[in-house]
Amino acid sequence: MTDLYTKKLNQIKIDKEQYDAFLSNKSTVVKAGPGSGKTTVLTVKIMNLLKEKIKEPRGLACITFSNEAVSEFTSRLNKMGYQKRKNIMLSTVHSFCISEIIIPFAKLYNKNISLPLSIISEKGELFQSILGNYSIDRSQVKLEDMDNERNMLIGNQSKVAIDSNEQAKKVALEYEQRLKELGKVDFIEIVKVATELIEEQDYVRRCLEAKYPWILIDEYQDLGKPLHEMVLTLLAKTNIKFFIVGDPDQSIYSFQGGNPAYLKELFEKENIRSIELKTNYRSNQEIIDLSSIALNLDDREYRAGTRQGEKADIRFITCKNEMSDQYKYIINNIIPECIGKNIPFEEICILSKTWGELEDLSRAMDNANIPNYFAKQGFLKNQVIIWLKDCASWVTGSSAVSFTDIFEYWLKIISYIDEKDKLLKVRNLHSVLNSSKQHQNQLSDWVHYMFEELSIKDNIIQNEQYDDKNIAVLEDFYDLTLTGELKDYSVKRFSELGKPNNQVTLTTRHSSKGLEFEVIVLLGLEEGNFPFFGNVDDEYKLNEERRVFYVSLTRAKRVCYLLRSERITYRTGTRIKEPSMFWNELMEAVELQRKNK
Amino acid sequence: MGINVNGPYISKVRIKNFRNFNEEEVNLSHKQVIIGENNIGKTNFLRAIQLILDPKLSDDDRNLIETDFYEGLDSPMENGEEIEISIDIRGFDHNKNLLSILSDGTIEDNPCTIRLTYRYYATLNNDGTYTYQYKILQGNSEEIQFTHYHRRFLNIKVIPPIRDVEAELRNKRKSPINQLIKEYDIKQEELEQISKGLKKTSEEVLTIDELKHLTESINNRYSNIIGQQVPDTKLSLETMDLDPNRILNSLKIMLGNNKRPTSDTSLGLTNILYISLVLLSLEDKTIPPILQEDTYDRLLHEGNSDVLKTCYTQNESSKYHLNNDISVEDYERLYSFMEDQLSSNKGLTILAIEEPESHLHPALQRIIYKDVMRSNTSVLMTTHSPYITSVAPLNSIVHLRLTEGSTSIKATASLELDDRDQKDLERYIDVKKGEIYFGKGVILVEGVAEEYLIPKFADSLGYQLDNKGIICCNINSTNFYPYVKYLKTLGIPHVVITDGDYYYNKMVKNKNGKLSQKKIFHEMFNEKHNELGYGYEGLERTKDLMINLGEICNDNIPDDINEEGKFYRESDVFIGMHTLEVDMMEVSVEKKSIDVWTQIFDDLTAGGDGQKKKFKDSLQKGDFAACLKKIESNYSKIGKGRFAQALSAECNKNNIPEYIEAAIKRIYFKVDDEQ
Repeated sequence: MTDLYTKKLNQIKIDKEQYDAFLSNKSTVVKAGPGSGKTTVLTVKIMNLLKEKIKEPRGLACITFSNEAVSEFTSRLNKMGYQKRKNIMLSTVHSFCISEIIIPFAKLYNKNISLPLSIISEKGELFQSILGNYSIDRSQVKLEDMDNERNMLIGNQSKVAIDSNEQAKKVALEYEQRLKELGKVDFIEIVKVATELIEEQDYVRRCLEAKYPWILIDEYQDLGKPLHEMVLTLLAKTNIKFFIVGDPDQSIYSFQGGNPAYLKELFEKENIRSIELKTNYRSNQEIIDLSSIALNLDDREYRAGTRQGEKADIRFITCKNEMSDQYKYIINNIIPECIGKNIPFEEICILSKTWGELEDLSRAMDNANIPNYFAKQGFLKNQVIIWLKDCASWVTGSSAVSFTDIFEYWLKIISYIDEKDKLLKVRNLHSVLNSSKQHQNQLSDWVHYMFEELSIKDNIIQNEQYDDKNIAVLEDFYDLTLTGELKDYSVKRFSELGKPNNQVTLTTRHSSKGLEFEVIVLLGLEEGNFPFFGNVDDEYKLNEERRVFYVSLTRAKRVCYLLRSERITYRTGTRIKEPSMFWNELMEAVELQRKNK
Repeated sequence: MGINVNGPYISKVRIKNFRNFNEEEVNLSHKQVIIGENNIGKTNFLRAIQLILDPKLSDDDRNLIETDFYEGLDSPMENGEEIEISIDIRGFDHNKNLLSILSDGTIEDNPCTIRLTYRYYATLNNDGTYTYQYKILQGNSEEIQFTHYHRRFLNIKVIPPIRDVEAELRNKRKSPINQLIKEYDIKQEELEQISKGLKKTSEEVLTIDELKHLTESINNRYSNIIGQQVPDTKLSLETMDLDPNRILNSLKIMLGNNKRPTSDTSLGLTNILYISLVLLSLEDKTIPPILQEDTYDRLLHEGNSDVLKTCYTQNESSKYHLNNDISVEDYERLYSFMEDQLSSNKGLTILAIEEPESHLHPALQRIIYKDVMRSNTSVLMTTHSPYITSVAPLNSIVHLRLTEGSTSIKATASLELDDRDQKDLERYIDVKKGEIYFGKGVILVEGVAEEYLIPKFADSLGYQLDNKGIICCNINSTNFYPYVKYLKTLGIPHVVITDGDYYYNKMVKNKNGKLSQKKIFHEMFNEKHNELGYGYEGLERTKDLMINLGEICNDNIPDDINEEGKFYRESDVFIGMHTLEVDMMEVSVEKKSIDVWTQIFDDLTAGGDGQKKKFKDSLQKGDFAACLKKIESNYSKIGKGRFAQALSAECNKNNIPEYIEAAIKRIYFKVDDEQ
């Protein structure tokens, strides 16, 4: 049997650009288009570095976008035979900053940050009260504007110019002042202090370099300025090698500070190797060509690495009234058509702007007995629940998680200090997990059992590292297992959450990143809806909407439905809606393509 | 290699409640010589460090027992007493392996310092008893542990005093020579070829008829016994182990032109060889001295590999050898490059050698010490050898001594002396074979007369110096400052005895006929001296000494000359009036015991009866300065030293000046007080 690593490595060797990226032994930026296999390159590269290049006790850091992504990554590496060892950090930017920079060094350098870290749970309230003090209307400065200003104030290496808003800046400075007075921090504050430490202290940089001769970063386009500043400083002042993967075309998180320009700035930087992964192993060539229309750019040269000669199937469906007609069309036409062509439910995905619409659609599909997977699982962003899910995997015999990992996170939850009863804690957790198997048929029973036997809530309340929001999240989660969408789930099914199980996937455009389906259905392509009317005249914002459209289209391997309604009712009355500009542009391109054939 | 990257070293040790030690803290440097009497705790001091750093210690060894607690504690384990040992380490941060796992324990970044703390701690049980456990923590955190994993990269190796070096050298696996060979990247193919060649020549031996016959005979006999029952049992002879995998293990070290095996050489030489090999095997091998061609070519593809070309040269056998003349910058770049590319994931070691002097001739003791001092490895060495201590730099001494029931640790690592003083002191210690280190108390004196007489005085007063381990050190000058400062740093009780050196001022014509005021010494007091004033140079010197040492400031000194002398006694300096002999004569006259003086003078002088009479007259008149001149005169041919020697054999209580008696009593009292 060839192991997974060798299998994946052989795959990479066939693709010249992927192999170049894999072999690269200096700092490298990889621009990776949709379906280009970037995650494979990244994971195989990590395995190779650990096997061949980096000897214990040194290691590497792999930084990615969210806790979910970290957990996904860890399980991929586990399957490839990754052995836990010292100085390997798979984490989000925030956990990296906390555990590798703030905790070890903030005290040493007397940084003005209160330790242990206490994360503010009423950020919104604090922001509102500052707006009140300055008599600023909430339509003028949004929380996201303030955070953008704060991010801008971090570091000064990047040359990317960003518009600044005086009022938001005023609010930002006041906010940071008040935060300090409260002895609290938020994520931006954490990253800010970490960036300062890296910039100011040679020793901090040397320690990072010693531990992490390589730092790999995924989804760079969504990670924002603070990380970018950190990367630039470390590139300039250390020998740390970076392997940075991202796609500026898929940068859709500007409200969290993401900006495609940062990745581009790195891509063009001297002394960094730039590689573009140009082969798309997901979609057929026509989909690839058409989707680049969405970007309004004509210099993308992606080629299909699969489905040679296959044609795209793009449908433009105009419904009469309201969103409900679009739902009806899906239920009455699209789904039966797919069934007719033997396309499994798992290969169908409905994309919408908001979760609200999808909730309505989900109900309608339930009524029509169409199995559907409503992918809004906010609780899966919570680390404790991700951990519970890992426990569930282990309990049901999956190899993707190791008991050591589970145990290590458990030690964090119980903020364990003493070596002396470590063995006791290991044994206890092990036996609780084992005996929890008796409840594996009923998730709610299992969760209850885990909560009680491990006193999870008490432990979290006592642990200063967790803010109290966690308790609410856990309680809501338990409610879901009793009466909500997780009712009647088995533990195994819970452990597989995040992946549809012979169901049609319903998700938002933003959350669809990284997913792929044979058939994509895009809802709500009316003028004013997509792109949002307020963004049309702002080039920066319009481009972001274009990228959202691009991300949506590129989820499709072959088939794409675009739906719109002629009349939609708002609070102010019913309006006749023209098709979205994206609809028109794409339709034009499709017609041109047909004519050329 | 001209460039020295010194390995990590322990810069501070704190010990609380461990064996001989109650609460001690000491600063150390890269090379340390640990001295002190038997049973004072030198081995325990090392043991404290081993608890944290020695990978050979087991978990059991680290779980201490009641007798490991400081002896001064009453039933420590019933009272929940705890043992704590912490060490600070510096000089590790150039090595990325070490930095990557130890940086969590950083307590300071300039210079980079980490702290490791061993704690044997108690938890109270419900029944009022305590359960004990140990933990070793990094830095000031209560969470990050220092474990066997970390110890792989930073550790201590202890070479014990009684060692079977021969067995160690013979041991195939552990022998340092085999360890050293393993560190080279020797090609398997090369070995195979050599082994083939060896096999071929050695097989020729087996073609000798006699050996063939022997083989046959054995085979016949053997197969007679087991018959045909067991297949494949043919016997053959082979000359030696020629397996290419083991051929390197068969290497042996030979000594001298006629290649004696180490088992035939003296134990002393074998000891030196062993220690040298250990030091060599502990060297930082991040930069390989020889690179195979293929490794070199592979490395060329890595970033920053241009440094390879400046640092290595290919030789005839196509291997790349490290150049000898590498600049510091290149060396640093190469080090960092190799760390990233060829990291051995070997750790760095601090070496402790207990009593290296065993089996060694004094001259060799000095040599081994100097070799050890040159190495990049930090070394802690315990010793009783005056030959080693006498060549050890001043600031490398760790001195263990008993004070108030517990062992105190003093080190000279942070001692600061100016160049002149340092050289004076070092020369003195070398010439006197480090005797200053071995006293429980020290009397510092300025000349040979004191050296002879003071032990004798002490005897006649009933305060035998030897019994108390008090030694009388003659520094042959009046520059007491470095000695006192050093003794203070070492925590050794001491007193200073110095002459008063009475003088008076007089106007004298110099060469140019000009009048100027001069100090006139070696005369007895006379009313006329009041004219221009008089003084005691001994007092003036002592004042400077005390101010330099920071013992006193100008304002505290009493105006009255008589009070001033007493004042300095508080700081253990005892000052006479004139010189020792004169002060002795004075007291002898006073106590009517001058016979000893006239007797000795008469015996020793080369002069005639006239001179003898004059000596006695001067003595009785109280013109002691004149007496002294007679002792020292060319005519009598005696000299102060010889006179003192004779005097020391015959003097008695009545010849002892008061200040000397006081000094002897003081040092006696201080030594007693300490213990």
